[in-house]
Amino acid sequence: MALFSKYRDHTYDFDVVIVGSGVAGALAAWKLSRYDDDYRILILEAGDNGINEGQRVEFHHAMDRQGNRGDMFAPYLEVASRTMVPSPEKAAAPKPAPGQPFAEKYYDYGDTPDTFRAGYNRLVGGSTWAWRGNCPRFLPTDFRLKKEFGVGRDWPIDYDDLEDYYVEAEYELGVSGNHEELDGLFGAHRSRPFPMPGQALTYSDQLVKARIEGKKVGDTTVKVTTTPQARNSQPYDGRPACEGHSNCIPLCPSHAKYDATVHLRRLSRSRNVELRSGCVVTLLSKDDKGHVTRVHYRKWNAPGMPDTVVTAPIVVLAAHAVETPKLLLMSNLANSSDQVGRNLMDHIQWEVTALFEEPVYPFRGPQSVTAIESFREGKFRSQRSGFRMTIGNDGWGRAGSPAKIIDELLTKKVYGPDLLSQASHEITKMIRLSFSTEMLPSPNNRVQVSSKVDDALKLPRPLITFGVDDYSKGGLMAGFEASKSLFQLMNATLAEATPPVQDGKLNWNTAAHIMGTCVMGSDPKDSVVDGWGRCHDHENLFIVGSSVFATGATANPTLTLAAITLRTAKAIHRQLRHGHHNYALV
Amino acid sequence: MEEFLGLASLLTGLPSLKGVDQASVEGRMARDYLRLLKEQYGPGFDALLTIYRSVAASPDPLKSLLQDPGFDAEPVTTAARQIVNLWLLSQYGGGPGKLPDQDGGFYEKGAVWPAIKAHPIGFSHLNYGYWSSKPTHE
Repeated sequence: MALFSKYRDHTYDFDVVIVGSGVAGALAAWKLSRYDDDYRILILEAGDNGINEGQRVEFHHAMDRQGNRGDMFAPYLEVASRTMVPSPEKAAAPKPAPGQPFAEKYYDYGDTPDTFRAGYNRLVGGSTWAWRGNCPRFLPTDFRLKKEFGVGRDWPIDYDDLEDYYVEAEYELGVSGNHEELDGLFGAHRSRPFPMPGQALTYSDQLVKARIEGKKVGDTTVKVTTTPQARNSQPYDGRPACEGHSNCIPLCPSHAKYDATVHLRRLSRSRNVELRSGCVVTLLSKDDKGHVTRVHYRKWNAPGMPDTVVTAPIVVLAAHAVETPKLLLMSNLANSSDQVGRNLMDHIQWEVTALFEEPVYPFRGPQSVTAIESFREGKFRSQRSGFRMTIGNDGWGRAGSPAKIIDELLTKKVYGPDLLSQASHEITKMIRLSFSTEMLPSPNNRVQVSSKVDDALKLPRPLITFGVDDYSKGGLMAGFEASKSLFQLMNATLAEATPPVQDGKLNWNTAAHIMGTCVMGSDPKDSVVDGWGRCHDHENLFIVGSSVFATGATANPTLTLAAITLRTAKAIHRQLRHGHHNYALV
Repeated sequence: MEEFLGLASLLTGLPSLKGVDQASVEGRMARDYLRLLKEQYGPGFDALLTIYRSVAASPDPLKSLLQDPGFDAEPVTTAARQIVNLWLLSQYGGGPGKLPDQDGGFYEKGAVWPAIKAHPIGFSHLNYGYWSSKPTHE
């Protein structure tokens, strides 16, 4: 335990080195700097983009070139760093015929049963450059899936361990929500209201809610609630209230929605925190005492692309659930359990679209405000996934933009006054229900290091093996049937009702919620990190982000990963301050 | 220019295009779109204009245009689609089944947005909560 006996040991370059500047990395740095503003913290980020308003305006106006507006990465595709630090923005491309190359630019798929479609951003600010801001909490049973339902895994922590940190995360990110609607949801108590009220319901939400609230779908009583969202419903944290640009993904132009640049910009005013962009970490290595204190990185945006090593008594990996395990595997670290890279999860998603009886006027306000949480929990979870359902305010979402409707009318040779008349008639009645299901953690779904293909820096790409399980497929079909029933209750006319599982073929979308790969657990033989996010194998190496998730649940992961990050930051602080880590897990 | 605006008005169903003030933003849009169409879709655009000239004075010029055998031939059809895409979305490119993906330069002025009583996606210019009410400009 001598490593931390003097936490301000200036034989190290920094006190903490954090790899990654997304929400987990930025929040970890921010919280540590609040614990002690003398902590010398370095954040290394692979991407290289500005986080000032000018950059936001540039991204915003790049959306004009987006065309069909369905590409969540479109505003960022022209960032120079995309060549040197590629991202899997084309991961959603369908799997090609045998022998044909994938259209994507980054993943090596090897012999994967299904295509892993989830992408992420390697940017300063990470994947919060492309998120909707939804911040539901996990349910208490999500942390003990094995114990309650006999499937999946259990976490070493439970809902009560996280509740205080959930509250803190809601205030850090600025989450709007209605406390009364969600307090006690399937046992998920809330100790404090949200920092601001929930978003105002859209016009379409009101029409939909009036038709389905309190109605029965199977055994479930439907309740429409306002989704907690990291989007301001009133001025908060120096950012304005939402102006309803209908463009939460990919980019909130007004900054009413939280992204990690909020904390990064705060940190830029800290005297002891440094952010280095354009720095791809290539290796972690041990010092002569056997501690993982050396972080090797390549600064690709400097002449000659120099390789540098920095040292710190604490190293934190916050590079999301693909890059983090890849780096550990490349470094041959933290893997005595053979679990690094395994248990890769996403939220498998599908949607059903319809035309409402009367105009609901989508594309006015946030892309989605409300949800139906009622289907997330039940005894069925021993057999199939629950699902979380959202009500869209963006027409048919991925299935039908205004451009697509116009294109279809032109193909039918509809021109002149009929063109806008028919387009308007259809577009204004578009309604969408989307549902996300839970995958079980599986050792077979994994990230490895490709031995076949590398990137522009000659670093290996991630090799992905991924298959959607029957548990999730069962949830998808249940969501599909529930959606049809709900549209029937609304008296809406189904448009596209392609079953998610049909003739053995699986139809699905990615939620781009990458989870698992460095799972949290009590048993070092079966997990990568402990309940505080510390690697079982290395007392000074921590992991934050959704890679530590032991199960994926049905809730969007960001709030939970933010809460866990705040908890891990507390553990790191204790370790730095008190020189040991032998604290209890409660 | 006048001929182009007449054709665009016929295809899009936007009568206002016939009277575009050349000093206005719409006038600039018309000049840019015309130049773009000539550069990118010249042969199809020229052929389409030729058909338009032949039907412009007919009792129902739109019906005559659509029924002209030349309208269904490429590259005329594509040119017609691009005229619509530019004025409705300020985007062009693509074709049947492939959505336009090029910026026409005036995204916020696309005619589809007022038609569906929405603002251009990404450009609201309105205040918090406006989305709770039914659009008033019906």
